[in-house]
Amino acid sequence: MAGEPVEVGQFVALARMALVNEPYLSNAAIIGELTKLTLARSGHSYFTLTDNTGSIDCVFFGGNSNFESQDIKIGDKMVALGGIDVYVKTGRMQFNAKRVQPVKSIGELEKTRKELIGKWRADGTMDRPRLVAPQIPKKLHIITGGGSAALSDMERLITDRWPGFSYTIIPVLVQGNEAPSQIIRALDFAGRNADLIIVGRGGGSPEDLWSFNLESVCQAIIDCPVPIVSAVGHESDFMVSDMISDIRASTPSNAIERVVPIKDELLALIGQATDRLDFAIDRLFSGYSDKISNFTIRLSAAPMRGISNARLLQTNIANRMSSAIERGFMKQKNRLTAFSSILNSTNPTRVLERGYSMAIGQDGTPITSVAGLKRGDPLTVVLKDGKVQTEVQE
Amino acid sequence: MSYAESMKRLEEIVAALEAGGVDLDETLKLFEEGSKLLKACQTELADAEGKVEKLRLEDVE
Repeated sequence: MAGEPVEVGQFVALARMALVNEPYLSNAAIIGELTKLTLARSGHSYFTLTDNTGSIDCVFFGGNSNFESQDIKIGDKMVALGGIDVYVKTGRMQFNAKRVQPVKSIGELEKTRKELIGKWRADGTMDRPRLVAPQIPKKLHIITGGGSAALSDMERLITDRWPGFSYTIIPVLVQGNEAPSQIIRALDFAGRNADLIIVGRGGGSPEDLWSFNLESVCQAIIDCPVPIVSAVGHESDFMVSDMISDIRASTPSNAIERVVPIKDELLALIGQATDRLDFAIDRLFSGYSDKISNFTIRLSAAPMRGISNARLLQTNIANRMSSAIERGFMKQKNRLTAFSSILNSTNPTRVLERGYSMAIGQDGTPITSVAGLKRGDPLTVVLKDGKVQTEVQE
Repeated sequence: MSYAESMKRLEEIVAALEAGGVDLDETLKLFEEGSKLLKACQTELADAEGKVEKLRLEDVE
């Protein structure tokens, strides 16, 4: 049973207290279609959000610029953040909005994205020359969600590839209303301090990734004087940022694989180059020293060769001489043989053999004439088979 | 010279020396240049090491 009647104002004030003290109602985000909008001269915005089952009047004190800058129009789907309130004077319940943001359908977003791509194709932005990443980045800046899985994946991968590699992380919101401005701020800073930038995030719904399709974010990437790697979502997610950045990585991990070298591989390459340089130099120098020692040998052998030539010449002459002498001897020898055979044929013993005899005088010489012989001279008569002593008788 | 350029030049030098036909003066010059490049590459590697820095968005102005 209702008690004593209370005054209307009191009652509404009580009702208001009950509502605003309900946490779920006092801090809420409501989504609906904008069906009525008045931007008052005072700067306050009065609007109505409606869906199939309900409707509520809303107020956003000083909210006009928010509607204008975000281009929120009647018929748009939008989110209002704030809390419930009751206007005691009229007893009307209303939603006291602190923030509003449009909710674009994927279809609308896709249309904007296509228009953006078309625009940048037409004006040559897509064909502009891209910056090249340094082979060893020394001031790598990573712009991504602080504490995100994507960040820890990247950190782990960097440590695997190059323990002790130095880099800078700029944590930002990568989705929601604040994301674009934070990403742009981080890009601006990194553009002045980094030598390579990775900007990206892990996988998510198309709406979650949408910052990377926004003109403002992409324009910041285009304007950045430092090479930028766009690394958004999964393999299959293809953002406008991927198309206009200097390097497109399919995932955040892929970005690391593309720009952070494996230290051991570089060391191996340097080691190889060192070995090859040393080896080539060794070979060249041993070639030179071979040449030098070859020259030395030839140089020092030159007089020797003169001598040995002379020696050879001498030997040659000596040989020729001795063979000439020998030939001379042979000639003599042949002549001697000839003589001896002639002599043989005239050997007196041969005559004796034919029955002749020979008288030899006292002096042992053959007597060939009677002249000079006297009676009584001893003679030796030589016959075929012996000698007879006799004397001249007449 | 960037690391990539250094390594490329180094490759040229090593290839020239390996091919031979370079006179002694030139060989010495190439060797000296190659040694310097190697040292620069090693320094470059060392330069890439340091610490991981985490900035806050408020600090990046």
